[in-house]
Amino acid sequence: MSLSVNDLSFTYNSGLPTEAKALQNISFSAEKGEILSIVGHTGSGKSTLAMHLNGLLIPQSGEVVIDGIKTDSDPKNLRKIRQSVGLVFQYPEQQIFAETVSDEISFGPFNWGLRGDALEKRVLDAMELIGLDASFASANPFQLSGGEKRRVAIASVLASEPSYLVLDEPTAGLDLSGVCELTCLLKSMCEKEICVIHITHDLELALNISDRILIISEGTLTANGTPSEISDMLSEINVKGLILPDILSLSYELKKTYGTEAITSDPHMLAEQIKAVKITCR
Amino acid sequence: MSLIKGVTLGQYMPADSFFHKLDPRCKLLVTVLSMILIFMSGNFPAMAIWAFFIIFIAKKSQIPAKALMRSAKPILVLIIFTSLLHIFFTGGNNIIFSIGPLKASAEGTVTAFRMGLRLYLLVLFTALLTFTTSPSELSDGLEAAFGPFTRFGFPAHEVAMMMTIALRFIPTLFEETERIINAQVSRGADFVSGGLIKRAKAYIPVLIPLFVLVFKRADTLASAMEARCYRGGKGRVRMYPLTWGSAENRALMGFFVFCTVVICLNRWG
Repeated sequence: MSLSVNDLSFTYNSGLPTEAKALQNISFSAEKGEILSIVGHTGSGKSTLAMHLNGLLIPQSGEVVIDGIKTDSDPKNLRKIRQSVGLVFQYPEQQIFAETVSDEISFGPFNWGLRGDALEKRVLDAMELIGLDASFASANPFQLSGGEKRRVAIASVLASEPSYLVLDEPTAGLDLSGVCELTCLLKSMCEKEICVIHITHDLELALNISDRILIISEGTLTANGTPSEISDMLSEINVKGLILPDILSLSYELKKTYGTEAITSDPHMLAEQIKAVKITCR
Repeated sequence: MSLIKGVTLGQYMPADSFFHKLDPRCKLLVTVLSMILIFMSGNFPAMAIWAFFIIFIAKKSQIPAKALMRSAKPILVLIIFTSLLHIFFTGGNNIIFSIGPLKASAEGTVTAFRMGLRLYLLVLFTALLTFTTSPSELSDGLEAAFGPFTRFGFPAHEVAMMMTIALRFIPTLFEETERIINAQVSRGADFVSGGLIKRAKAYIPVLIPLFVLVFKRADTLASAMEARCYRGGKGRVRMYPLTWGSAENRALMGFFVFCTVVICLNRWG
């Protein structure tokens, strides 16, 4: 059981003067229990890709298959797919509408047909998972702080217990400790055999937390590999608008000037390399 | 999701034409006068002249006939409804046919045709204004038109500014609505099945976040305007001042000649 995208292409306003090719021949697959990061600059098509993953957009050519079900316009299939693929939009706190936190979080599972104790349990589980105290359940979500609102919004997606969790720029606007908490959550999700698809423009974050990274540029897939493979590749492929993390730049410089072996984004390995360089220079 | 696509607002069609370049005040004046005159035009020759006039302007301004026809679509229901009322309730002796107590008279049919045509021409003419004038020009023109009423305490500048802001934010709000709809659909919201009440209720999770966003946006916009020292219309100058030149004079003169023809036709045609 997995999520696979085969030769997916999508064009906005097809046939009009404002036509824009958002995705071109994208293929990849994602397994349960891994964190897959999709990295791309603004306008690279990554949000369009996210909307394809739970059938908000239907492929114009190619296909998206989730646990053996193809996304098409059949409402029954779409319902199943949306239940198993949770999508957290950018600034998810903007979707909050309910009077209490527990009403907000129960919106998803209620729509999927859950009632009574099972529904309540889902809400409390989701709140615990995201690190919200149970006392928040009766609070008014509009009176919470920004970070708390975002947690409520993410919990409202988690409450549907999706097998695939797609997050579009979940760290946007969060402070450093917020980012750390979120990455911890993503890691704990993937331990639960959930597939986490993390969409971001932050290459450094992606390198730190992912099992695999896809790089998207101008709607096409330019790279697909593990963080270390991607680190090696980045010096060769020039991706528009993608800023190299400082640590990788340093690693490249070391390799160029002193001929160190591996490109790495791991600070410990880099420290070892610098130590080795120092010894040889002496 | 394309729940709200297909709704087009603001039908401005940029082009380089005489009517596009005309001062918005001139166009507003002509439009208002035309509306009055169209309502006064009773006979068919006068209306034919109006139709030619509209087609002439549309051709000159490079507005496709299809787009012009489409602009009257929203009020087609109204036109048909009023026409039906006229057919059945005008009275008269020459009964063509009757459905139960409703009697369609020949006189009524003529009146219905006349009223329908009149309304249709009216809508087409006002559409010409919005086709050839950008929203910002339009609000500038309105501000100037309301100018004389400031003396009686009418906030002309403020009203024009409100209109400009409202027009500016329509596309933004559509985008935001679509995003919220997508987010709620992802959480299993269903906008398409069920009865009318159920469907209306389904929109609550869209409307509340949208209102929250709108208020936030308004707040931010107000702060941004204040930060740039906006303090109302007093002493404010324009980047592109409205200019009334020879083109406007010629247009107005042409229009008055046309008006004379129409009035004569009305009287003796």
